[in-house]
Amino acid sequence: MPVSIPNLDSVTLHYFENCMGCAACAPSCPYYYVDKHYAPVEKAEFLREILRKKYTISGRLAGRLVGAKLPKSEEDFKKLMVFAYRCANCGRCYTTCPYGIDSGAMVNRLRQVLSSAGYAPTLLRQLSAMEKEGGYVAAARKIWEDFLNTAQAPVEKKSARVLLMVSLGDILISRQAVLDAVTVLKSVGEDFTLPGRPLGVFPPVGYTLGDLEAARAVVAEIVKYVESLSPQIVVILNGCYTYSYFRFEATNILRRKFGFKLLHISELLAEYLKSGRLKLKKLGIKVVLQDSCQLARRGGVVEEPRRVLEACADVLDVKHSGRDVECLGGGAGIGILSRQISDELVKALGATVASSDWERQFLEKLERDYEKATAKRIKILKDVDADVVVALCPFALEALKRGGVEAEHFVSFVAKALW
Amino acid sequence: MEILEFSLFVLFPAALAIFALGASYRLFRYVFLYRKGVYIHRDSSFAFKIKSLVLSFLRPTSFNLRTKPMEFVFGFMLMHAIGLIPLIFLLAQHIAYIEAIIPFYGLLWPLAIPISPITGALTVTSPVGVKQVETLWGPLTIVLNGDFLAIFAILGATYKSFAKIYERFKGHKNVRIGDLLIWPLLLAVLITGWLAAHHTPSGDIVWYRTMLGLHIAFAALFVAVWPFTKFFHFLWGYWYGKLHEWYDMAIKRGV
Repeated sequence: MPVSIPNLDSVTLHYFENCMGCAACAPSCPYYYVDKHYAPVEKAEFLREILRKKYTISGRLAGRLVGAKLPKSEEDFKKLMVFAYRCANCGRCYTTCPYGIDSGAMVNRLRQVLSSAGYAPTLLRQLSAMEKEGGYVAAARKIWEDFLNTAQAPVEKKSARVLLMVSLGDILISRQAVLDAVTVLKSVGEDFTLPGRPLGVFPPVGYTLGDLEAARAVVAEIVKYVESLSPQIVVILNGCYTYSYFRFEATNILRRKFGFKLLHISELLAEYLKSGRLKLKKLGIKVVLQDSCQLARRGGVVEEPRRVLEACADVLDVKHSGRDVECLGGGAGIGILSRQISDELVKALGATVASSDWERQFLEKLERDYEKATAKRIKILKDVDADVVVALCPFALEALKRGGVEAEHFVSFVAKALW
Repeated sequence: MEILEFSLFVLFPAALAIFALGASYRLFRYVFLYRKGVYIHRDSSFAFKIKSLVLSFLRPTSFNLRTKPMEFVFGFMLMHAIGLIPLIFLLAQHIAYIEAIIPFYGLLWPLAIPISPITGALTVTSPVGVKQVETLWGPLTIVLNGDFLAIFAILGATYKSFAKIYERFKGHKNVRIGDLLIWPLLLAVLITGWLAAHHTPSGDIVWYRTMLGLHIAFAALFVAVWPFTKFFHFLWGYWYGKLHEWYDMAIKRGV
């Protein structure tokens, strides 16, 4: 099957040719503790083999002898699928690499290659197509209407100061947190609005499977809708890739700046707290904050959630926090493929999880590896004498609960402390 | 023409020409492939930018020390920090030779490292004749000398060679064919240099000139393949990588 190989720009060229193979990055990856061959350097090497074949003279002439190889057989692609979906793109390997190589970005490009050849998890492919074509809106109309009835908040109000960007995924797996965010916004007297429909499923799902065209279409459509409402600030609840993608990549993808400012809910609450609009009472609870990789390491949102939590709880220290946070392994679509969340998506949208026996086995193995990948971090969190772990990322929250940790969404925790 | 003269007057100039062409090719690719992005940077202070620049370089080192101490000691400290880098760029004999090609390189003479802890004399066959190295390093010369640094670098490079072979044996993909070629080359440069400096295996002048010729020949090969191998990280990949990461993470994202 023909594959589409990513173009080189100066950054990709650097990631491609300047890896020394020192494997210093290896211990930074949660999947390395599942299998040593899941080290970031090794996963990225699969893409390097493909790039060598296309972009180097030695690769074209000497092929495998110099580590240049294009996937050809079904077995080749299936093997690549296993490695490509053992990366949460958390970015820790990027900052621990002595050469500043973002192996997560390389693995995402590997997913692009796979996707171009028709290899991607069925569920992600379906969600991406639904997101791109808008099919999820009609499919989830009842869920959305039920949410709006419960929320009792302004909907599609033009020129509100704040638009709460709610996706279908937020409603399905963090419904209470979204409702709590609405409660907080009402309590501070914010001029805000909800969208008239869910904005994407987990936008952009296309990013998780390497379908850049779908990701671009979804981002363009959501930005167009948001701009039609003219808010000053768009607030994202999802602390995973949706935040970092819209905050730092979307402008480059659409090649223009937007007419609104984009914040994560924790940034907005920190602003309220600083200005005195948000008044919180001490709950007398010891908490530990599980930072989100995409917010803290790839997004620079480190202090804001801490400041808010410190106003209502005793925040305990835990090692590897802030920008050095250890990932729970559910980013970049892996959390979406986990049984708990995929079951919700199947129920809400009628999506299919697996289309073949091989894919069923692939997902079962991924589920087991995902659980093992979370174990190291969960042990560290359990060792801290906290009453509850507060998480900002919905996939982290699911992983923590699955691991038997008392965990709560950041917004829900803060909502409890409202005066 | 004996090997010393051949290495000095044919191989090394040829290697420098190949190096210049190769390095230019490598660098210009980055210029031509550059695409300006459209980003909204997070505001941050000047002090934050400087601090994060320093941390970008330090973070991998401290992480490596915590997670892979053997790699840190042999790969980073012995081979790089107190092995190859001072040896290549500050050994008095090397300064003398490089100064003959690039005159301003002589500015580094005050930092020159003698070849042995016992004597600071340059060898009589060096292009500058007999000269005493006036080292700034004082008592540190006990360690900062060609003998010791070469041993550190040989230990580090040997460790890396065996580590790579072991990793290859274990089926790790991060060991590439290039590793199996360049590590022996690096060791050949180091060992012939050390043997020449010690007039080994024989004190005979013919043996000495042969060994020095081999050392320079291997060094010429090292210089010629420099832009086309992972050795180039010292001149480009390392600096570009960390500066890009700093821009991406600190300047753009405020991390």
